[in-house]
Amino acid sequence: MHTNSLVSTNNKRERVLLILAALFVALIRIALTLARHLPWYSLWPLLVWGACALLLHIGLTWLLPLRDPIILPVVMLMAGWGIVLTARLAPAFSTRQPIWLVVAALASLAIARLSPGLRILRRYRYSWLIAGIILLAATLIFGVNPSGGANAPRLWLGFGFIYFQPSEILKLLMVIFMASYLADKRDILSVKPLRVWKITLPTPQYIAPLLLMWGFCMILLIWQRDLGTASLFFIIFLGMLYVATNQTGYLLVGLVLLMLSGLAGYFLFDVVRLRVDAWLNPWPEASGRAFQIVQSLLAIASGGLFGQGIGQGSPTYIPVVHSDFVLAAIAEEWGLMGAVGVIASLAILIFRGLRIAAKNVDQPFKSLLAAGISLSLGIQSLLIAGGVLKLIPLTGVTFPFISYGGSSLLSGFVMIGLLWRLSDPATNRRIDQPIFSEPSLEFTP
Amino acid sequence: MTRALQRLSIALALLFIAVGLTFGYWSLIRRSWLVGRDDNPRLVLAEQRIQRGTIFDRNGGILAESTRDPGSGLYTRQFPHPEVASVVGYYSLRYGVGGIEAAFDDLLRGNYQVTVGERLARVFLHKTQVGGDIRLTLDLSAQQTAMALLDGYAGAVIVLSVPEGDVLALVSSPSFDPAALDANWEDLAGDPTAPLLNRSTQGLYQPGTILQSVLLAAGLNSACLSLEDSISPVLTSQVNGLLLPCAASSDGVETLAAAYTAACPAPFVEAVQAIGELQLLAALRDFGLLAPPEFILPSESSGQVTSVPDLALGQSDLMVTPLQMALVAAAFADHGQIPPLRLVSATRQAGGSWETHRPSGFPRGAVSRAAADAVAGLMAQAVNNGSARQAAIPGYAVAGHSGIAITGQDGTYNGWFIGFLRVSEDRSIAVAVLVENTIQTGLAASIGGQVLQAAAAVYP
Repeated sequence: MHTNSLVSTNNKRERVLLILAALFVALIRIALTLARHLPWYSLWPLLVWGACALLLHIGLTWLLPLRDPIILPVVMLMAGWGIVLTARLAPAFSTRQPIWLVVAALASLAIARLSPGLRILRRYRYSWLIAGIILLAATLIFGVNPSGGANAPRLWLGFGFIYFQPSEILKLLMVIFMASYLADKRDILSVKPLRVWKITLPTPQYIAPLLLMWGFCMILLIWQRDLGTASLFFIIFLGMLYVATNQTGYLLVGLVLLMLSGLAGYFLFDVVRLRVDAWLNPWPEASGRAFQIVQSLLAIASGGLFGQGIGQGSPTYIPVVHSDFVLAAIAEEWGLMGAVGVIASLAILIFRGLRIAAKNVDQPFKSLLAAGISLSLGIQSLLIAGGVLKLIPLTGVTFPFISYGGSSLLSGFVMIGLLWRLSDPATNRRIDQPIFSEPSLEFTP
Repeated sequence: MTRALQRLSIALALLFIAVGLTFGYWSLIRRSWLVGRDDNPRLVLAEQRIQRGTIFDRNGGILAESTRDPGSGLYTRQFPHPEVASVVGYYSLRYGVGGIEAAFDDLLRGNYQVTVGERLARVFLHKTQVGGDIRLTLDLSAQQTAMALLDGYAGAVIVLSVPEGDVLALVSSPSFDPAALDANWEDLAGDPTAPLLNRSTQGLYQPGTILQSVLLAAGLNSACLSLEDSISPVLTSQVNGLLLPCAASSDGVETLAAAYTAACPAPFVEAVQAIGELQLLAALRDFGLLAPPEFILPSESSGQVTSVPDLALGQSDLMVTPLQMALVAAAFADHGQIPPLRLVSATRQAGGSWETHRPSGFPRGAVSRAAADAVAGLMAQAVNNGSARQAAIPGYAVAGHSGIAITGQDGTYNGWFIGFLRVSEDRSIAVAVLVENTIQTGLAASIGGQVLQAAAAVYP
């Protein structure tokens, strides 16, 4: 296919899908306004959302004409749904979320402008990661919790009225670091000198630096008692190691480690014991310690197939519904159809990411980075969906793009910016290059 | 790496499918079990979204209604007149429903058969479920008068219109305020005076000498007794060592008729022997004392009687409710016919028109007209100068009989009064009064007379 026609088909696909997403988001936002008798000026986030969508579409058309055209509409659909849900579930935060969307969209465009090789990320991988760890460590000293609460974990850094959660950025930097490290060391890591019965184990000295970095993150996270993020990090780490080395031995060892740390956590941390107990049998303590999960299931059940209708259910019976339990709120008001729609949207996004990884297998760093980002988004959404559904203990991570939270939205969009960058391997348009001397679009299938 | 990516994709796809299926499991398969859980706060909310129907008295006065809070859109139940609690009952999100609120719950909530369009609008558009309305036969002012007269006493008053059988007033004291039920429930439930018990329909009491009207009517009906029968000079009786006295002065009591008007117990012991067991039991059955009356509110009865000879004093295993005694009074008012009871005169579904309710059941013959009229004549004498003279109202033809019963082992007395007032040739008002724990024979009669007067003012 000719490059120009490919580019225009690509842009047209994205445009059509984006219009569909815009129709859905506008429809549910207007429905919410009608159902809750909100003033009409409260529709302004729709305009912000539309401006972001337009900006990203035009910007990407210019910067990365061969990018994946599915990602932007799917992500904007979820981000728009998230803005509507914030207005529905936590009206006090309904101003912040659209502002964060603007910041996140600009950040993703900035990422999309990076050079195709993403050399800046590879070359300074230790610096990036250490910077992330320092930020996270800063929360140990300066950490706050915007929602207050005496015993609430202090995972945020406050700058005036802006709160930022460094673990969100650290998660991204971890993925970048591991993609870069594993791309360099994967051949060595794949050697099989240790054989225990039928399982091959990696040589200790090669895995040591990686274990060290990972361990450092884990210690910090456990120190902070942000155990949801800790388990998320560990599973991403395992998955990326598996993709890089193709060794099931790592997976097996890792899963055993996960079980052991779960057991240790059960006896060491009250919060872990509480959540595991509430997961195993919440019904006797439905009004006490298992209140949240039982309320979540009640919300899902009361939604049924078609849902109660936007703004007409009672999801706010679930404590902190706007961050950890958005899926239950969607299930109550949009029904099973809405819940499956959200899960399907996220699954589409992840499979587009894995497709980008598969297309880049000849460049291990790019492939691993795309796979790591997909894994990160996928595992995070599975962790929280499983928690909301009583499939696994609650982990308290956010659902990407939909849960309320600026840091989560920002890191999500940065990841998406990387996926866009990776999905268009050829185009290299830097801001310092004059537009008229743009390089020819060479498409290599 | 490609192979690992493929496997990873398959694993993630399976996990996403598992999540989707689990959503389906909770929202479809386990739905009714979860939604029906007691701790589902949505149940209370759904209940508060129902515009429950209004309960009116016979003149259109509002006894219970639901008002909408404009902010939340939720309804709360209002009970402007706590005096009607014994009939209207209560409606509580925590403790459920009682009285008419319970008996007509489905109508009041709007749970009746609705069109498919209406049902779809309720499910998918959250259209407010609007309930139907009820009009009672109760008269608010008569009810308030009766309640005020019983203030400070434990007891019951029932006023019936004859021959319609409409319940004009039904009072149980002590009572409760349905508007403050949630706050006071613990106290009400633990109160030894049992304010939540409806004494009118569910309180079972020894009839004592108030049963004499039934015994006398049975004897006259079967011609085993005659009013001029002479009696032995012993007039009072002993029950378990306690005195059962005459209700009025026993001076010059020499005939059965005089013993009846003075409500002296002893002469009836001999008289009952003359009637015979079978005829006595048949009379009890015909007067409706062996089974609960057909009524909308839950009603009691003591059931079968085994110790027939003890019936003479009304101190046997026969126990009666004030409602049953009100029907006995109505039988004498209506020449031996017991009217069927009616408490709800009409209902209407939301947006519909009023549909008149027929009484539950049909008039039943309790005793021959001659026997009933003979006893009714004596009842008029008893009000003139006998046991029930405190019931007399100047300018009205009141008939009645009052009696006393010994309750259980603790040696306290209950006062009874049954009577009626002729409003016109063929219409009357019947009343039964029970006052617990009083030896004053005139108290029940006095309350009965005043209640009849109040009812006559509103039921011309």
